Amino acid sequence: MSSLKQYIDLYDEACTLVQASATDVLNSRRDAAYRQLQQFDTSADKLEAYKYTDYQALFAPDYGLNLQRLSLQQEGAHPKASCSVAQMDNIVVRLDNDLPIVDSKERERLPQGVFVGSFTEAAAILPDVLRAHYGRLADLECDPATSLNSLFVQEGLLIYVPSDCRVELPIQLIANVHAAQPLMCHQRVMVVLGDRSALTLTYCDEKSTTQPTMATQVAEISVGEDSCLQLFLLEETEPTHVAFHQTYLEQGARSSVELYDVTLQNGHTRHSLHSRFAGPEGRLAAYGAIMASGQQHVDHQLQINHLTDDCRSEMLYKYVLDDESVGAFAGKVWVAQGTHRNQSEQTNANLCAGDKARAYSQPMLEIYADDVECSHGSTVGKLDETALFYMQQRGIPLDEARLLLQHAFIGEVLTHIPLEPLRQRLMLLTDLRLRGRLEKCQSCRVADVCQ
Amino acid sequence: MLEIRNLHAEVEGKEILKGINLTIPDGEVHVLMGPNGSGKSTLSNVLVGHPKYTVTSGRITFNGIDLLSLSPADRAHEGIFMSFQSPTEIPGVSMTNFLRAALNAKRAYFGEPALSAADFLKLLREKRKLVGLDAHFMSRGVNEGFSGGERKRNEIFQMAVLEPLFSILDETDSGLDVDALRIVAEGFNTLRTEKTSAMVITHYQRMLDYLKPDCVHVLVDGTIVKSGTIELGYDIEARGFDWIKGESQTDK
Ligand SMILES: Nc1ncnc2c1ncn2[C@@H]1O[C@H](COP(=O)(O)OP(=O)(O)OP(=O)(O)O)[C@@H](O)[C@H]1O
Ligand SMILES: [Mg+2]
Repeated sequence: MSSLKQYIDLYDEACTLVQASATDVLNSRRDAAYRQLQQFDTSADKLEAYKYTDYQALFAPDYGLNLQRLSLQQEGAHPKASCSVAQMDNIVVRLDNDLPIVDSKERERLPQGVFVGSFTEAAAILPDVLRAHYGRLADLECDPATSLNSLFVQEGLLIYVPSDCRVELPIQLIANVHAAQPLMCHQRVMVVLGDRSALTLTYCDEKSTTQPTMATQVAEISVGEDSCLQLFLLEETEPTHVAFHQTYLEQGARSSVELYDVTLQNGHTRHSLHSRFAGPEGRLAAYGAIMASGQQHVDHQLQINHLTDDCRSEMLYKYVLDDESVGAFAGKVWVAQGTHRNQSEQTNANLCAGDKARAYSQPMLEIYADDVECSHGSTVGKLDETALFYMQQRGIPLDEARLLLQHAFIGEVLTHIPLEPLRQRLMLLTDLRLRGRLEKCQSCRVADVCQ
Repeated sequence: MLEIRNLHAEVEGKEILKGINLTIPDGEVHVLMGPNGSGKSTLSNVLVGHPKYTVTSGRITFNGIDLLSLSPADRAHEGIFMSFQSPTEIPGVSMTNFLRAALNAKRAYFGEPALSAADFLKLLREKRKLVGLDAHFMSRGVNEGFSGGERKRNEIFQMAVLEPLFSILDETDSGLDVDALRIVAEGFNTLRTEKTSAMVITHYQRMLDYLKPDCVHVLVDGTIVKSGTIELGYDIEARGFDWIKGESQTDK
């Protein structure tokens, strides 16, 4: 019996409760999710996409689910949320476990026609958008975490930007997991960007409890023609957190998406990105900067599907792995038959700073077209001993020298970030992270740093 | 004052230094010459505490401190500097950040506060002038994409910034063009005080001309076989090492 069984049983018992508080569209996918989960439960097949993450083991612990939707609000649950990115004006939106919270003040700052709010609200205001996009990209068949999420999800956040609308201020989404007992929560986000629009979204995963927690997150993002999306995913949780991030992306013709995925602090994280170019001349650039130490585990599974002509995808993922941490990267670029002039470049580099750290790298190309330009490369290395000694000879203590090398290695990824204040802040947080000082400034680390 | 007594050292299980005795008083510049592979760089590396080189016996004291008991970084703080024979590249670590880390580590070692940003930049500017290093090198990674000559110049620049008491120049002259050599040597001479001293490794007479060393030592097969004045250096330039090897053989 697999560890998924307990969730199937739970749903059997509590399905009325799960459905009662959720909007119709969420209930519409549950049967399919249930059947899919049963299949995962009974199938003996190993999932290729879970080669480096043992989901059976991760789903085994007995987490509580807040199916009755009790308020779990604790004193000071949002200490970090009050301080957004330094020197950057953001529209701040929160996910309180799975519950979206949008301040009316923040809402007023949104351009005309832009909607940011819960699925429940959206069901009244934008029912067609919700119905058209919910579950459209999130493929249940490939992923037990997506199935589980779709089975239990009770609320979600919709960000809707109509056509011809550029949202100038970045939206910062702070997803905070908190609980007084072990908790599993299912977060759901949908981003719908019309044609000729633009959005910058910073998605920060945080956690303000030391209780064991698990979050599944399914984000379905569709980007219209000639639109631009900059997406920052920043994880800053802690060792007792398990995260399954499932990001599904579809891009229209001539659209551009830049994705920056930064792991500062986590427990066990699996990120998967499924993306597809639905129209020609799209561009996707995905950058990853991952810092792990202790027993941390970060696993990225990227699949980019080139289904039309003249699209370009780039991936640059770098991992700094200290102590006994584990990093895994599997990138698959798939170029469909009959397409033309697709380009792709895939780079994964790993720095194993700790002797016991492990890096798995698996860049892959699956090409069914003739005129393509695709490349991939991966490296696994250690800290350069000669450089370390050179620095020590100049008086830089060994620890500091190691840190400078690690920072330089990760810094290459961060230089691609176009937003100056955000780049600066991430450089700083990276520095603090590598120094092991992130955990120490609990209340408001940004303010602390800004002094 | 640097005092080396009966120093034996090995690398990868092979004995390279076979009983070195050398004293370099404050204010003096000593030149170390010797055939390729005789152990000059090995001696330098032992002085700065390179982990690959193992001292099997002997002592090194620097201003009364047992140097061998200090970490490489602490030796640097106590004033030991080495201009490397082949300076390494550190991509992504800018010269500015690198030097700031080095300077502030030294200040912390002596319980001093970190330099202000303004003072630090002013210091860099002054010292760059001394060795004629262009400003744009400061934002580049340490030695990243530097030419051979630029790397050597950069070594002396770092020496100027860190103001060591004892400097080792391991063939800093090789790879420099005539003008660069003059600038670097003059820069080095400007930095000399009665408190500083140096061990300069070179194969060429030009370095002797510029530095006017107080002593010249000849290292052959891991021991100093002859010491003398600058004239000894000129003799070697003219006659090579064989005659000295012959002499030391007869001595034995
Ligand atoms: N890291 C090392 N690993 C292995 N052998 C070494 C190492 N360093 C030095 N040696 C060996 O020790 C001996 C002395 O080398 P060293 O570099 O000290 O010579 P040198 O006098 O500086 O020569 P040169 O004039 O060519 O620079 C050589 O035989 C060299 O191969
Ligand atoms: Mg040498």
